[in-house]
Amino acid sequence: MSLRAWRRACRTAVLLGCLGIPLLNKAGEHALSGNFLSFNFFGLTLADPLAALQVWTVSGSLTQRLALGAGITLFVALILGQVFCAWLCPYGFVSELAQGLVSRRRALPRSGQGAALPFCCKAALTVTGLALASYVALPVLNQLSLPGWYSRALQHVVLYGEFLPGVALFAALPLLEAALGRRLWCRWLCPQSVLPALAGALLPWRLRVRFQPAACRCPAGQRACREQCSLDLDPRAQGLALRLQCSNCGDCVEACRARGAALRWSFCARKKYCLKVRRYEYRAL
Amino acid sequence: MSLFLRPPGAAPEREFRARCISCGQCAQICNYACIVMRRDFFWSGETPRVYPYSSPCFLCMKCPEICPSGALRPVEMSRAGMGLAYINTEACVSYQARSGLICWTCYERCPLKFRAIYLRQGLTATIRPEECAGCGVCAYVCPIGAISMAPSDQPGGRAR
Repeated sequence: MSLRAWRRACRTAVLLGCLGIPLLNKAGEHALSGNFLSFNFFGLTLADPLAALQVWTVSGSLTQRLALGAGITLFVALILGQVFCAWLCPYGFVSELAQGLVSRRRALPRSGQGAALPFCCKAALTVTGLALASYVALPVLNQLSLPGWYSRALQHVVLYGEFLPGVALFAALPLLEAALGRRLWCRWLCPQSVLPALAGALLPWRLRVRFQPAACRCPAGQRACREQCSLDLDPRAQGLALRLQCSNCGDCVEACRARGAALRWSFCARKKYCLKVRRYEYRAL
Repeated sequence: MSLFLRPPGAAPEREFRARCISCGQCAQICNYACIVMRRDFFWSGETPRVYPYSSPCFLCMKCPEICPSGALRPVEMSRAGMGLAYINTEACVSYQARSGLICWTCYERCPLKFRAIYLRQGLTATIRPEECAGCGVCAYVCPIGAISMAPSDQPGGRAR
């Protein structure tokens, strides 16, 4: 089973969970409850770090549970990067499917790779949203959480048998992205991905895709890895911009596997350790 | 200001809105389905409400326990602070000497029995404002709709 198939299976399970958990709650089972803004997992709270930051900004204090829940999420991002975006986010799943369907038919020219401009755009939106939240004393950025919207919409359908009025606006977004052939929201706008991205950029030895130029067998001008990246990133351009934006989906790693395996997931940062890992892996091959 | 009741243990309205992150866990854990997630306007998000005339709160006090953000805080039943019940003495049959009827439905069904509602002179049901949690059970069971609810931040108002 390919990595992409695993990822799709994982995200499909999450989408089914968004529907199944309210059904379980309705039947009286409450070990799992909540949505992507805050989730109760057998008594352990997991929370969107941006939602927690807004509560702290707006009200001036934070409950221990919310702080712990946001801390766990950030800790996962610190070690594994933005795996939430690639492996769990229901909007990312829909967006990827929409973009994949169109780009197969109509390949569009891709934007410049590796630049941090899209991340700066997201960060600016987040800072503006936090300032607005403080001004109006409401956690307004939660309304821009697409995973939150998707899970809340399914909660409403199950609990009250009705659709949230604003959901149509966000259902139209994948269609727009499909028409443009770009993942605009995830790369340029999503404020929820900013804090995990910053956490993921802190540690040099966290799990990330690492490039060994000597192993690359692609002819000049051919970039299978870049073509596979749904976020239009160039995985070979290792640097802060990539660290802030790569969601560890593994599509580039899989594309590179048959072309020298120059791109690999690894925790280690120092060259000698990377070489050791590579030698060991080559021996295993 | 709100024209509906908040779940038990809710922080003051302004702080409640600031803290509620619309996770919906309070509505999901409510066994009586009396908490409904609704929004005022687009940016506010869905926040939990109780509509006492269609489904009152039975003060099981599970929702404050599960709220992660502090919008709902664990409190005793009597300190739920959802609102206040008012009896319209002109409509309540027990207050009408000529009716010849005595109705104690609200008194008998109040979750804070003998505390929030007592029988004045052993006959007429009377609200004790300092004890009333504002759960709305009395308003829900009143056969002639003589009891109205006001949210805790709006004394004298009437919840929908």
